[in-house]
Amino acid sequence: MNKRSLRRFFGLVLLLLPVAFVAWQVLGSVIAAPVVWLAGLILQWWLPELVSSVTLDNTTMVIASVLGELDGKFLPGAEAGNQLAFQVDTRGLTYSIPFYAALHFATPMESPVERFARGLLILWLLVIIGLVSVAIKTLMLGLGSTFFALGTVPSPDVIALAFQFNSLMVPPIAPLLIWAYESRDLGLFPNLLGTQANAVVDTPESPET
Amino acid sequence: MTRFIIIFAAVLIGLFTLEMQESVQTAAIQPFTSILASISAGIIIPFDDAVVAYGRIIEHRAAQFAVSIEAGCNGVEATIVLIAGVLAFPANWKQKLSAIALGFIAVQAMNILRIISLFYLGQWDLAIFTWTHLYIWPVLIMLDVLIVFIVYLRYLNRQPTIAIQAT
Repeated sequence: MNKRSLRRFFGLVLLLLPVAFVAWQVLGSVIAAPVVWLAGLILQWWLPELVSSVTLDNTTMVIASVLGELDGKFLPGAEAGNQLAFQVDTRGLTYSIPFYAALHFATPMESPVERFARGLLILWLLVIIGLVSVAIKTLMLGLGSTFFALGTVPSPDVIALAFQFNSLMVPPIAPLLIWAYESRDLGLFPNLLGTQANAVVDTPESPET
Repeated sequence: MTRFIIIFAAVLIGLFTLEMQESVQTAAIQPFTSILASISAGIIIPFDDAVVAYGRIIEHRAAQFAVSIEAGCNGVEATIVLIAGVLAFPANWKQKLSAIALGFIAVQAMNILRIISLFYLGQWDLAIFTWTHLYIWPVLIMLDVLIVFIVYLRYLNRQPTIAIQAT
């Protein structure tokens, strides 16, 4: 990709970003539905003593706990007379999708729709992992020692790190990496992805780096 | 490519884990974030004398609005991504360190623009502030990292007898 087409590419990304974000805003619950459903299945399988059901309210994942609260103590919902619910905003993770869409459709490539669908599938899987991480952190903060009494959950440090990594790092990086892989034959990343091998000449004098 | 992915992932996870350590946060990240807040305020104050900065907080006294720059808002994660990419790509150390230094400046320049824009967006409309803060700016910062990385690769490409052999 030469300098001119590179400028054109970034210009197109900036033009497509607002369009992609508007589509993401409009389709919010449609985009979130499959990932919330699967994340809910994982949470209910992993923590049946805590998670009663997981539903989607617009773009918010609502985790209903089997526990309720009475006089500052966590008790089974029937005893407490209420049921605790925790909310997780899916948009904090799914914003990776409009970013990926803008990068992808700004790049001329063969079978763009098929490749986009592949990338979207990977992003959805990462969003599921992210939602589970955020949900676990939310349950940990909400239930405290009751949460750790289960014995089937990781340590607080692991939960905190997984939450930070999956909410801070993965959403902005994953679209870039997936797009870079899908664009591997365009010469954007010479020698990185096994293409454009002639771009840099290997010589015996090459310094050890 | 496998080599790139392994080094990239190892550096990324390693530096991110390091950054999240409480001792690193106290000794390096929080003071750095305070400096960032001071620089942002230093840029704003000549144009708006109602602005003050203390610690990681920038406050607009007339509008009674303040922002606190927290972990995740200081461009450190974006810099870690850039460092991971640069270190994973074969080049000599001078090239790598130059790319990291210049990339750090580019990322932080963009981040200061982000802080200032959010500071005024927040005074105007909190809903737009939240939306821009959580979804738009992380994307733009990462786009900045991508531009720096591609410019670096293009620079390496113009060095015909250097790089690519081994690291």
